[in-house]
Amino acid sequence: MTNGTEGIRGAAAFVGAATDGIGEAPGFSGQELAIRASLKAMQDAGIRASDIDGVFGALSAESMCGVAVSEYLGIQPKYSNNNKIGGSTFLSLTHTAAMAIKNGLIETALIYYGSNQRSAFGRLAVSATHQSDYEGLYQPRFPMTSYALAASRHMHEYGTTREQLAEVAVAARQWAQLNPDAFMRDPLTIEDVMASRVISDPFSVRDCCLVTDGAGALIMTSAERAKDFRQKPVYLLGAAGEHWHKQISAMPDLTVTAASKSGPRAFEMAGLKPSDVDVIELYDAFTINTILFLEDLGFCPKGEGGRFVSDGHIAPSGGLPVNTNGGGLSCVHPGMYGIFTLIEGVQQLQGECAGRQIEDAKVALCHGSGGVLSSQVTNILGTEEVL
Amino acid sequence: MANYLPEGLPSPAPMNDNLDVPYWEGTLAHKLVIQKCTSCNKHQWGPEWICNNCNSFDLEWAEVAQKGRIYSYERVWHPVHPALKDQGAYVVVLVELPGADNVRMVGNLLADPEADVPIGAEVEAVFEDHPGDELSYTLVQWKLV
Repeated sequence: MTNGTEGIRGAAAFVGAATDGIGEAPGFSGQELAIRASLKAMQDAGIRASDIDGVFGALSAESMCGVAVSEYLGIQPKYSNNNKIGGSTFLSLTHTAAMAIKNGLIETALIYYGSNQRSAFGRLAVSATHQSDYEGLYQPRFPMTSYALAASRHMHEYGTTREQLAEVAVAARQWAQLNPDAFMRDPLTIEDVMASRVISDPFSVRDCCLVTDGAGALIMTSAERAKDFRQKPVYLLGAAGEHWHKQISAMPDLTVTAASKSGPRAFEMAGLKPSDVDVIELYDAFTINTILFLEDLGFCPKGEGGRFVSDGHIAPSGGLPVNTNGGGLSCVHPGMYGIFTLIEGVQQLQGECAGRQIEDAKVALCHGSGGVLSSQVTNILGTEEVL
Repeated sequence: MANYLPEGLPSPAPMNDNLDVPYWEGTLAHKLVIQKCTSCNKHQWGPEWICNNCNSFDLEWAEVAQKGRIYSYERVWHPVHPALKDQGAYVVVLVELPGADNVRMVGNLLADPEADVPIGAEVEAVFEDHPGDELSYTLVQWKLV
């Protein structure tokens, strides 16, 4: 039996993408920032609200955001979806949107996100109430505890080092220095990361994602219609997701995520392999994430991730461009970063990334993670040349 | 014996449906009691109305060996709760129970909080009593064997 979804390969394309309020955006709610990003994405695509008939998105603070955002923008969608599987939600929504487009249910989709967590709370907008008494009474530091547990286990099993974790943060910062929109652009060395305030061993503050405001939006339409848009279409070639647990104590193996399943299925649908990918955008909530996902998605063998990122291999001067906007570690992290992996992937393939542009990029892999390494969703994007 | 973490932290809130009462009663008696499915015989943690393995509703409570091994750990230096402001480092461990289908439990490791934490090492449960006027409860902690 096939996996049943190869029919959406190249059926839909991104024709608009935009961000708003990256960093600090005081005075706006998360929904208002999402609206602003949506308007900019519509402008980027050259369409109006009345051209959109599918609305997909998520806001941390608004459980019925689908109807709220649609009313605000004056959209009367035939299909709405605001699923909640955490920060990978948006990569799952593009998967659903492409299926709806392929089936003729809708023609053009808006995908949105916005959060003002930095201005409103000054901390991550994920609630500690995610924890049960059976975990919370021992005062683990949520949410980094789950990732710290994964990092400790990876170090134990594979000899991954503190310096190798720091390499991930340094590479992200070097990319951020090429991105004028990135929130943290000061120089950062491995020594700086290791000397910064320890939050939870093995992580210092520089191993942990930023707490920022920010919003993003994408416009997706059918491959047929995409040719008429002013933006170079970026096709969704592969999409797949999987999740195995909610609580970290239920994760089968702390060194293997469900990306080891979503990645191969997304590649299978796309008819591509890791060596075909020109630019990689991963949800780097913590430095261990990048290492785990590079392994699980097939860019290096399991256990080799730490050595793989060493010597600046994923930095601008290295061999493999990863998190070219600066990632959640140095560019933006409003709570559910996933949508920004897509926006950077789309803009890289459109050739719009100026100083950080990967020359002649044709294939991008975008990967989102939700919960505590729980829900994993992979999207593979490509230009017309690889369609 | 002093408690591992200071006074002023939250107490357990029993589940509305009393599902987890056998666990808390077990800990008060210094027993480790978790759920076991009578259909597929798998242990699971934490308490649920349904077996996550076979979806049976027929779960019983079973006393299990108070021995485990450290699967992973985190050393917290920068906690959130105000009661931990002057605490300094403390260790949270994820402990695997080989005698109960390797279910994993979160706890603290009762040792020098700045000492190396040996992943894979054997640990045994220590029952940390919290007597109170309105609510008495006992936390399951761990120490190296």
